[in-house]
Amino acid sequence: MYRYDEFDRTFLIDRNREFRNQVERRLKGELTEDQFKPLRLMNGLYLQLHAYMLRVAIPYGALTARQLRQLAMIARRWDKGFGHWTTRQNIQFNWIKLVDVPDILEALAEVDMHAIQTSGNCIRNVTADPYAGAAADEVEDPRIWAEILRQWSTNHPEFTFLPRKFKFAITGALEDRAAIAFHDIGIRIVGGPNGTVGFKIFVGGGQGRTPYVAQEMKAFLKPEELLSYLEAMLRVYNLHGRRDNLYKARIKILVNAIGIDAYRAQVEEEWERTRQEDIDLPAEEVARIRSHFTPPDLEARPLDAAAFAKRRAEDAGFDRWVRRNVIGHKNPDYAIVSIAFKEPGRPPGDASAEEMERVADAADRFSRSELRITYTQNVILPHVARADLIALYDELKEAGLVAGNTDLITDIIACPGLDYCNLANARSIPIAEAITDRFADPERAEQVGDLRLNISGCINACGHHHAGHIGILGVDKKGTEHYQITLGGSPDNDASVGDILGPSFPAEGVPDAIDTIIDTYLAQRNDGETFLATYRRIGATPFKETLYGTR
Amino acid sequence: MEHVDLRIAELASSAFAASGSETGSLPAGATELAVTADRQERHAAIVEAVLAGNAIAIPFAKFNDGRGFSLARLLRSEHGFRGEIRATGHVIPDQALHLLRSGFDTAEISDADKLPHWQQALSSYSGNYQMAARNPLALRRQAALKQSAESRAADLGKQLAATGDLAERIHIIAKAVPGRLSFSTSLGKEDQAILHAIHEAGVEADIFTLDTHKHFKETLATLKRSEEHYGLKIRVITPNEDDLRELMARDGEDGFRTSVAGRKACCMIRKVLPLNRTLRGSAGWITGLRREQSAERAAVEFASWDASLGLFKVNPLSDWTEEQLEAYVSDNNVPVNPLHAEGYVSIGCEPCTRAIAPGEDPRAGRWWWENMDGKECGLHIGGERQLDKVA
Repeated sequence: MYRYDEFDRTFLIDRNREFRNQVERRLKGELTEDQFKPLRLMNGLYLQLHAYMLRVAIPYGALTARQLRQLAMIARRWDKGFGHWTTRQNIQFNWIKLVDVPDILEALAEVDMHAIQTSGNCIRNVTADPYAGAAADEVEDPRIWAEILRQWSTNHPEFTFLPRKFKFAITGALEDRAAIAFHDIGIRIVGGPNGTVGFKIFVGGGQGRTPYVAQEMKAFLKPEELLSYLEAMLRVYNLHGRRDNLYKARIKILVNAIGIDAYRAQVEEEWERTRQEDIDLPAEEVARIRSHFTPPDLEARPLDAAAFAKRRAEDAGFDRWVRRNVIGHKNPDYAIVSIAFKEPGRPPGDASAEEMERVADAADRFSRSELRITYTQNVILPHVARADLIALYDELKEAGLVAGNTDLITDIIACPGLDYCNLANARSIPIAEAITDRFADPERAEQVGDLRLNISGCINACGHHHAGHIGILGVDKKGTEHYQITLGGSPDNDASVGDILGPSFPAEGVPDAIDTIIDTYLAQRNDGETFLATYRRIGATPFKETLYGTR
Repeated sequence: MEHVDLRIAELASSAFAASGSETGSLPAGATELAVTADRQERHAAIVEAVLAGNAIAIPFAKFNDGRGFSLARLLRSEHGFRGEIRATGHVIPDQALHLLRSGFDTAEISDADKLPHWQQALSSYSGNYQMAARNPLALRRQAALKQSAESRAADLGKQLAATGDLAERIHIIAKAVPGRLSFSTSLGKEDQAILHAIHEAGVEADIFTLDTHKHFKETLATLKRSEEHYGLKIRVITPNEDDLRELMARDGEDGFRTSVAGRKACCMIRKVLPLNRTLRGSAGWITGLRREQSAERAAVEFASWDASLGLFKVNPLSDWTEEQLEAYVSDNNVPVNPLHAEGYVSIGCEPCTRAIAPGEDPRAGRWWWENMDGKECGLHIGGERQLDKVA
């Protein structure tokens, strides 16, 4: 984990002092809401339906147990005892008072955390593979580069007033678990010539009103070239991105309007002109940051295979949890464990202060005090000895956190929707709850198999509906909440945008519609074929027929 | 209209100017640059600015229209513009440091009551993470470097003063400079002595010369001879073709003769801008300046921190006399420009250099039709931008 030094701490103190002053000016009326808005947004503060919402950055989703306990303290003291894991690996608190925000930011700073650039038209929190440093298929730990990007983008003098928000994602693994294809800039760490490591750069991905899968921008970039190249990319966007229309201001619109080749030509020309003049990222700075991410020293912990098998045979819940939530680690004695925050009765990604503390305790006991947040709104313990799995399961079970449904139909991504958000057209949480209830039988959910179901309450697509195998989008149809269904999206290596199936459904019709889609899939699938593979093989027509009837 | 000088942030935080209007208004005829300006238009604006008062105004229609930040950054780092850049229109105090660090010098503010907010904003951060127009060092390196830049320059100066041996001085410089070392040579006698010492010391440096397209053929021959003699490469940096076209279109072939401003524009485009571009990213810059050369250069130090370029400027010959230089060149058989033997002392471009009589000021042969004050082409500017320290 990256640990702040004097420089980082001083920066944060300066930043918080600046924002405290801005809040005071707002409370005294010296700043109008219009003037205050961009300033508060740059510090993660939204004004929602009922209260202010504070979105706290969890850089690249990595947390320590100590930090999580502090988040629990904040939830208890300044919110209603809850936090909410977001779809970009952050946490948000939905019941915040403006006057408290400077104190909350100070409490965050005590544990090296902040809310900087979690919103606003600037470079947002960088997301990354939640299995970083533990995954078996990793080329290099992406957290090193995500931290470099965090530092580079923090209060960047040139790129703080961009045409629109700007999101980075980075993965260092063969399998993309960071949805890099749906980001403004996606970065994949790849092997280069002679055992070197570098970057493949993608640009122009995004969801929202106009979804695009990112296109390849640069096949290989040397590590020292990364920042100068990104600056050239951002500069061309800053100068040429549209500012006259909010909906056409993202870089994906620029890239697709002029074409990737024209955009690349402009960037490369800019880069050639400025990179000689700019200092490349110095190796010693990379080394300093890299030293924070040296892999933990994991001692050999052989598993008592007989006892483990016995427990699996006797306890179906444990067996399912092992099947679904225990993931291979690069060290065979260890595992990556997913803690699901998805079960009947829980809005996806909601965590109580007590749950946060229980999970922090588990991380201390079983995972070197390390945790990760996923963009699918769950929590990861990255370094659990297989020999500890039974003890961990029992501890999590006491906390009610052993739903064995990772990547199943009930592992739903959902935005807060109209229950909280003033942008939403429709509620997301009740739809997620209804579908979770419908598939509450874990055997049935597992029989359906790997399935990503994502729900957004409006076209801004915070719930990633475009990238869901099944996507649900809340729309406003003559003043009533309706839901449009898309099929065939994917956030992974084979990224794609889902296709709209047909007319939308009223809220009460959604669970039946999903049931029909699942039944159609089960009737059509070949052995071992996932939902996505079946959809790609047979197309939308069979689903349309069962859902809307033949026409 | 009030103005705030953003560079006051560079002074000690207690030393704020009491009023933002102290720096006065923009020089008459400051060039306004549209935020949509493309590369040619930026070049054109710089040429115009150099002629009109060396100031460019960038308007902000709305404070959150951030194009102006990139424009200022490009004027500084791509075009090497070192005149004043002023933000006009709608900017807010909370942007003061963003403006400063992107390369702005001043901001025009409509409400004088806001001045305290501007001043407070300028001192709101003690460090920054990333490189920018005013801290061209990557990530946080400048933080450590900046605090000690002046004292490190002073230390380097002391070390250089402690030895008279030129190759030894070059060694000391190479050791002290934390990164790429640049040496700009005019192929004059001083620079030839330094070239010899670099070769003798075996130090790695980016050696380059600025070909203005107006050099004496003897100068170019000296370049070739030096490369052969020392078996090394001297990079030849040429002016930007677009800039030259603009200059010719505006002033004609002989514009440098008709006014001081025209001459300075010519120097700017043929020498200063190419030099600034080439030095970007360097950690140290070796020059052949000597105190004896002119009244302006009488105070030249061994080493100083040039904040606008973000590098140590080092003058290893600053204390040498003409006699010392002569002796070094002849003792070491250093190839020199044959024009020196014909009475040319300080050799620049052919149309702007003449031989001088014994006893004349050494710089008297440069731009002899102008009066004696400030005969500098702009490569070695000092006083007027002393506020310009790093952010």
